[in-house]
Amino acid sequence: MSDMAIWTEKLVKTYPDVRAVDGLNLNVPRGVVYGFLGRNGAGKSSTIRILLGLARPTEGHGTVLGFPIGREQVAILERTAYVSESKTLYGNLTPRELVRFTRGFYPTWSDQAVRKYSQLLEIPMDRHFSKLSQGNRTKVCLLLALSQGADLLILDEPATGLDPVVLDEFLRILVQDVVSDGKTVFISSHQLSDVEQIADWVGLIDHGRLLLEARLDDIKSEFRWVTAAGDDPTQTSFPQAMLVASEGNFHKYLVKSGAEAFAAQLSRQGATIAEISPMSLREIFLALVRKEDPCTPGNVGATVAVASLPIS
Amino acid sequence: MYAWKCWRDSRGRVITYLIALPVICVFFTYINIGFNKNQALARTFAPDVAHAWANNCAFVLGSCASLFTLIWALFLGASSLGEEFKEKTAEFLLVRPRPRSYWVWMGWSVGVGEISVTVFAAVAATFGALACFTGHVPSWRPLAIALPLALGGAVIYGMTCFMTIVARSGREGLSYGLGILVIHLVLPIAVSYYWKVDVPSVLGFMIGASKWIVGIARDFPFGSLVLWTAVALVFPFASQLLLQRADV
Repeated sequence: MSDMAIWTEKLVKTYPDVRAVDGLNLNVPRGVVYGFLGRNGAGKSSTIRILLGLARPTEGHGTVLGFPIGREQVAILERTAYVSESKTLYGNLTPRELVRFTRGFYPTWSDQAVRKYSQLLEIPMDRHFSKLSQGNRTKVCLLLALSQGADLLILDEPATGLDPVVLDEFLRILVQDVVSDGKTVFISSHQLSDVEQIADWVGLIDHGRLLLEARLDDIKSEFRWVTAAGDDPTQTSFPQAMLVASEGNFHKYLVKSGAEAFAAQLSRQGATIAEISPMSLREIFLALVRKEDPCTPGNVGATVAVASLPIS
Repeated sequence: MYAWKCWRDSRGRVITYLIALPVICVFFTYINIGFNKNQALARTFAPDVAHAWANNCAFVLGSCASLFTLIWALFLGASSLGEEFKEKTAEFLLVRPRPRSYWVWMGWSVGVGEISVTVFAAVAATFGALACFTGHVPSWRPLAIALPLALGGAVIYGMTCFMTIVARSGREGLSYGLGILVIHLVLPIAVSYYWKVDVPSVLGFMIGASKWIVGIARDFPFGSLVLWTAVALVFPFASQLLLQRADV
């Protein structure tokens, strides 16, 4: 457990009208960029709030940097930097004053980092936060997080309002300055392309449940589309495959691993394999999430979660 | 750093009240001296008052300043920790590495400090005005009136802070606090009038202590002092317990 930056077991968070987190088992290794992906309302922010002690779990437990959630929260917060989804700071303070306010809480604070990143991100340091654009507000939040010298950065939708140049710069900072220093970055986002650029690991959450957790390279090398023409596809019993769409006699499968073996099985059943093709993270995300979504036409609403790949 | 932030947020109101409360006290001192010069009125409304300056002290500081301090504490409390929820900055604040009790007690300490400074300024101004207007320079003892005033202010400030956390909004906390204050001030009078039972009131304590300090009352209300000190501390404790269990 201690080699994990974040570890949770059967984490549950219920609100009066919704089960926001539903038995979540997270395993975030240290020193990686972990993309925590999901749709709006999937339970990403609720999970983060539990990790940071902002909300108490209804059930389950976990650790952050080896410290138990809820019991040693100050130790967790000393070592964790957080950028919230709302990016709301004190409107009557300037970024310079926000730095002054924040600095005193962290023994590992770096004024050198403040100077470096405020210049790199071109932050107007003497304008009131409430007068800043959305992009500049995001930059200030990132500046405070990067300057803490934290072992773990938890970033909830960090790209909000950033223009492509700054976003590119920010992603470069994360990889070159943060992760290369042995620190862990936990990015919650639904901007798949941004996460795909830098993530080592990916966790996919929907309806509060983890659908997938694996190395991004493994996902890209293992996941395949298999398109086949043939009879009743429900006769196939291949645990790593999931029927995603059917149109006439053509059936499209998402195969987690062993696409060739699956194609061979279909062939033996008399189907004709039309195509085996690699999948992008976006396609995997959409396929898994849509399969989960009972509101999507064509889905039966059944829970067909792909089990997490083993962590190696 | 949080103390600095609390001061920065409230400094406009503190400075305004630091000027306003002494001015109000000096104004009422002036009015009250005029009232006391009219012996017929003085005999009617304050026949047992031995000294004009003591009467002035008791009236201006014990009554006017007490009431204004309670109102001041109420408004100051409305901009405390609970307002962070309304402004959506609680998420930013509460992920700083400090236990939640820190935010409650630090904010409370700054607020009570600000109230105390304002009250001492008002007392000093009243004292100076009395010396100027009457030509009589009394002992330094009346300066101690600031202590019960500050304690009363701390009670109301803590109560309002607690209500802002309950309501998660400064404005709603202020409304609840104002309602509680009004009920608290009216209820003892009503109960005493109809049932002849003394119900402790913070204003009653402030006035009673002030009267003892200037020599009008014979006994110092020690029981009330203990009671209201306890009440002043109960509210931040309650706020701490509430905040520690709150989801942000």
